[in-house]
Amino acid sequence: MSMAAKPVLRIVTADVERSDEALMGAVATGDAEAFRVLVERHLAGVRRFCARATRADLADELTQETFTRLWQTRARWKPGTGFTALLYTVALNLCRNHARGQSRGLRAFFLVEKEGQPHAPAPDELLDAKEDTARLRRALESLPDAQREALLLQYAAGLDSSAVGEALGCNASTARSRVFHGLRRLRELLGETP
Amino acid sequence: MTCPDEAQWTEFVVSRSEPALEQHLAACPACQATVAHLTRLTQRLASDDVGLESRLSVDAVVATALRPRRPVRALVAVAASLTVLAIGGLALQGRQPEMETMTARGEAPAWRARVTTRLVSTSAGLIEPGAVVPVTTRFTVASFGVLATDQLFTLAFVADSKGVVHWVAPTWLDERSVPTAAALGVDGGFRTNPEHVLSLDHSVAFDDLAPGPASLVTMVLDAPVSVLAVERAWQGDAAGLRARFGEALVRVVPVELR
Ligand SMILES: [Zn+2]
Repeated sequence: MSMAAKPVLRIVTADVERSDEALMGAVATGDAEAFRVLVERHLAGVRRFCARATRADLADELTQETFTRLWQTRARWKPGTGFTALLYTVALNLCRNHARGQSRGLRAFFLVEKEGQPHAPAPDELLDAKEDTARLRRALESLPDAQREALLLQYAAGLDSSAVGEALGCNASTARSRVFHGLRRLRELLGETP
Repeated sequence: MTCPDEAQWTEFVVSRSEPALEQHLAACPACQATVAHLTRLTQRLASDDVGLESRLSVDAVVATALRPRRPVRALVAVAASLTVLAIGGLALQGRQPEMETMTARGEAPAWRARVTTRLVSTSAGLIEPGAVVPVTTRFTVASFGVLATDQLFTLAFVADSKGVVHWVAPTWLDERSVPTAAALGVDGGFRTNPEHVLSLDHSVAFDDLAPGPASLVTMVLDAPVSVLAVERAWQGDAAGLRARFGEALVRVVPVELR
């Protein structure tokens, strides 16, 4: 192994080791580089969460807005709180607001993405996959809000029970119980063969 | 051997905290199937395959988040039936701007609409490129042209010298909401009068427009896109908006705010 590789390794390790909370502390003072690291770490998770909590074509806008608001409200960061709980509280509120807007009849809340969609007839497997995605979405929509949110925070966002509880304003065991009931109901709704 | 019930297996999958169940699981194909199904469900929730590719990149998300945004409280909007009268005068003066033709993508010459929207001053009317515009100007949007049967939407904003976007249409008063493009007031059927002029039912003045070179931007589209999508695509000229909203008509009028 070449000696020249060592300094590079050290720098990478130092970045990896900074916790989300330490990075957010730096973001609170206006550190855009720390913000960038947080976006890198959580972009995929937030998008996954927003897509499952609303619709795939809304996920990009809601994800962008989540990070924009995180940056705008950075000065309100309180050391000692969990970063993922804060991040997903922002995402959750945006998704809830979207749902409320929809119920008032504002169905076309965001542009439905048209570009990049295949014009040719999709192969059967693709149709099957789309049908699966649609079935999952319908099943999720029919869950009680508290169960759906807990389930998505745990699995789509990858939060542990205490962070799920913190984001939802309940304790970890309540969060676990919501995930439990949500998963049971989802299994009933989707039948034996997924 | 009695199998644990489904509730117990769900609990097991959710918290993975019961070693006794693991022993049973290792020896029981029926329960393995139950656990496998529950696990597949959780994996589907965790999958990035949500049905649509993301257009986001880390660079773009960071750049957009760091871009300054107009303070919502600085926006003043009033219902102003007077603007209709003011704009009505424009048509009589024969000062309609050039109209653009909107066609369906991929279709031959058949057009869907001939229309343009422009930001206008409620006191001075149509604002031409290069005009000197007082920062206290009250803006509204007028649409000119022959409109098709399709429902069309318009967006209009002032981008000042600091790069801050100030929305005229739709108005954006509440930061907790994200408004979408305003519907152009077409009530069905082709409009055949080329002098037809429509205007919004409100006008807007801002108390925080930065003096200097500014852009008055108007768009016409066939979908109610959100102000956020437009802010994200705005890079200081029409090109970014055209790249993002392929079918939109985009008009950028450079002015000097003073
Ligand atoms: Zn068994």
